[in-house]
Amino acid sequence: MLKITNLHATVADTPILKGLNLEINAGEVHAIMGPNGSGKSTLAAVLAGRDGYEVTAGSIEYLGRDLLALAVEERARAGVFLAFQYPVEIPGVSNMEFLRASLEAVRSHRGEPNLSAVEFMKLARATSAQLQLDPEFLKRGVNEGFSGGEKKRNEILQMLLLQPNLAILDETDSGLDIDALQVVADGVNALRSPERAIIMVTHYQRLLDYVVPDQVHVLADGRILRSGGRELALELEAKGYGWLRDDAA
Amino acid sequence: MTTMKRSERIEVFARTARTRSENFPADTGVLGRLRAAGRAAFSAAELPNPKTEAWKYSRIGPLLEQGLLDRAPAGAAATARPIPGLDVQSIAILDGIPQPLPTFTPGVSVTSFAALSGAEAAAVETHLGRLAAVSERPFVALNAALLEDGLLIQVAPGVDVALPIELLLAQSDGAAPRGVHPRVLVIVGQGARATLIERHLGAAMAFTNSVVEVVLADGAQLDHLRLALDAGRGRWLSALDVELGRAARYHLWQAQLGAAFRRNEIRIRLAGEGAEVTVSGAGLTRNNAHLDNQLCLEHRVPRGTSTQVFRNIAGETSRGILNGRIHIHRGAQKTDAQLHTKSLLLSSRAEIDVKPELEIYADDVKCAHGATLGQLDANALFYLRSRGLDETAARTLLSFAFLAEVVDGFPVDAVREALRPALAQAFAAPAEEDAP
Ligand SMILES: Nc1ncnc2c1ncn2[C@@H]1O[C@H](COP(=O)(O)OP(=O)(O)OP(=O)(O)O)[C@@H](O)[C@H]1O
Ligand SMILES: [Mg+2]
Repeated sequence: MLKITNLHATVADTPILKGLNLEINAGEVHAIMGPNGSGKSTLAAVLAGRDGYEVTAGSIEYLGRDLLALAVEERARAGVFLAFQYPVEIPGVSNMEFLRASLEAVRSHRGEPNLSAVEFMKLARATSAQLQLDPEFLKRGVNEGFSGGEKKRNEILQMLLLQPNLAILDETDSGLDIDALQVVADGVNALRSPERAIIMVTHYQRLLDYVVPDQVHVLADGRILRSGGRELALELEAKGYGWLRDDAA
Repeated sequence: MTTMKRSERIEVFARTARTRSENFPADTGVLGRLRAAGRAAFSAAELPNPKTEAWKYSRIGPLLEQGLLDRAPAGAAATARPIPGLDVQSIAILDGIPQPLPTFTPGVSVTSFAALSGAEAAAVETHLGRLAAVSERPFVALNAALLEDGLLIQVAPGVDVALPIELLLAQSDGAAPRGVHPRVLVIVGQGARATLIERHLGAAMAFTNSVVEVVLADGAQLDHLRLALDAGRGRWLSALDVELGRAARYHLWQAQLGAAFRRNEIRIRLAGEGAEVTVSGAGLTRNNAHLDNQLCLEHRVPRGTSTQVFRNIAGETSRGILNGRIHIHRGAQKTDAQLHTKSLLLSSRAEIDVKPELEIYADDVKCAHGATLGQLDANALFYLRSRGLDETAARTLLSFAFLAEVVDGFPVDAVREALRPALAQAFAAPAEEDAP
């Protein structure tokens, strides 16, 4: 589904990603861990197509297409979804109106009929309930005044509505209480299917107890330093990242 | 014609206006006297030139074009465009001519200047041209010199008028250029309360030079909505002069799109103690449209409050202007006057000029103003696009959000609901190539 080859990317002329390779097949869940500032969110931003992130070498193939050639919204419509590490507050735009516009854009691209206002409301309410998010949140401005955990749940709400092929969750587990982590994990597991792939960026192996990954990667200094199974996360939890660097050196 | 020098064009304009004014039949009634006074004042006045401070950002060129002093052809009609779901008692002034009046709810009376009698004549005698004096502004004089007729709208003392009064200043559907001069005097009696929805309709090449005077007696309240949602080739110059008596309340809500020329000259005079004014304005200009709001709040007596909030958006090569003057007279102690504006530029070639002017001659007052100028938030744009919205849709949604703070406060539900699609349409209008 996703094939990243020798990816180099700079931010404000500073090289951040330095030859990253990663391949993910449909049906798989991959976890990416790594030290602060190692480039995890940069990778997520490059995948989503954020301005200011310049790819200087390498390629990204998504469902057989050149992902980098697509505009931000085209990627979203083609099924790429990024759950932001820091979801953006947009006062004055109601969450409901935003979700509806988003769902319409994505569905119409897929050739699916638009939902009626009533159908949409039903779906949005049911999905909120699934995430134990009070439906009142639908009426508020997008993320406006939401707590950290509420913002993260709102990201998952969007993910479940949009049903992406490739979901990239950038530290969606950070800032969640234990119950919320379970709720969010259930949401992610609900999305899991043979046609979809999920990338979870996380600092904590606890998430991986709930959403068991097929592979775990360590991203350090702009590269995948090590890949392994579920047990790699436990090892990292016990030993930190230092030993990997020493190993690599 | 277009090769004429500016001074010649002004000369032709002034001469044409005088001739047209002289062509009205002699009349010793209200109309005749107003026209005579207007004609004299206009002849003596000098039209604004590039050095006229109040016209610094609005050049009169678009008003001088050929045909803009022509009388509208007779028998014209306009397509009705009611606001969906809005119940009103409606008054139409079409091409400057008051149309047949409906019956009104108890306490509301509307009379054309040509048909005044008794107490109404006396009221008009007292107030007409008092707030909008012909001697002060040449286009107010021109309105007086060239008006076909005018309307007196009165709300009787103590009456709470539930059904909004709609005032349509409309262009007929015809394509011929023309100049029209609507004139309205609104008097809200002591302790009375009403809602006035003034709509400026039409996008044709016509000059609408309106003058509306509003007198609020002690304790009166008027919610005044002013909607100008037709962009296009119209030239709209609107003088609005308001006076508040003791403890009167005046709430003005404006939602306007730019046009070839649109300028509002709004003067609000707090003449009775404890009067309260709020002004909320939402403005959007696209392409090469022009929207100029000139406001002057005059606190003449103590304990008045005024709060003005504006949101303006300019795209492409359009221009928005907001001049907010607050004049606190000597002795107007305990005045609280606020002016807050936020402007948003959607293009590097758009322009918004905001100028607060404070003149304060009392020492125990609160007066605050704030102006910010911004651009759409890049993070918010990215967030929306990352959810599948295309750039135009994302920009529109964010621009809406910017105006929402003002528009969501409009007091009439049906108007608020009608504003959304109207603004959406304005945002969705294609960007045009630059006009030559
Ligand atoms: N706009 C920018 N200008 C300069 N440097 C930047 C910019 N954005 C990110 N960086 C730098 O890029 C590096 C990688 O940042 P990134 O956000 O990808 O790290 P991360 O792995 O997600 O870290 P964390 O675990 O803390 O979220 C950091 O050193 C960061 O300071
Ligand atoms: Mg990060």
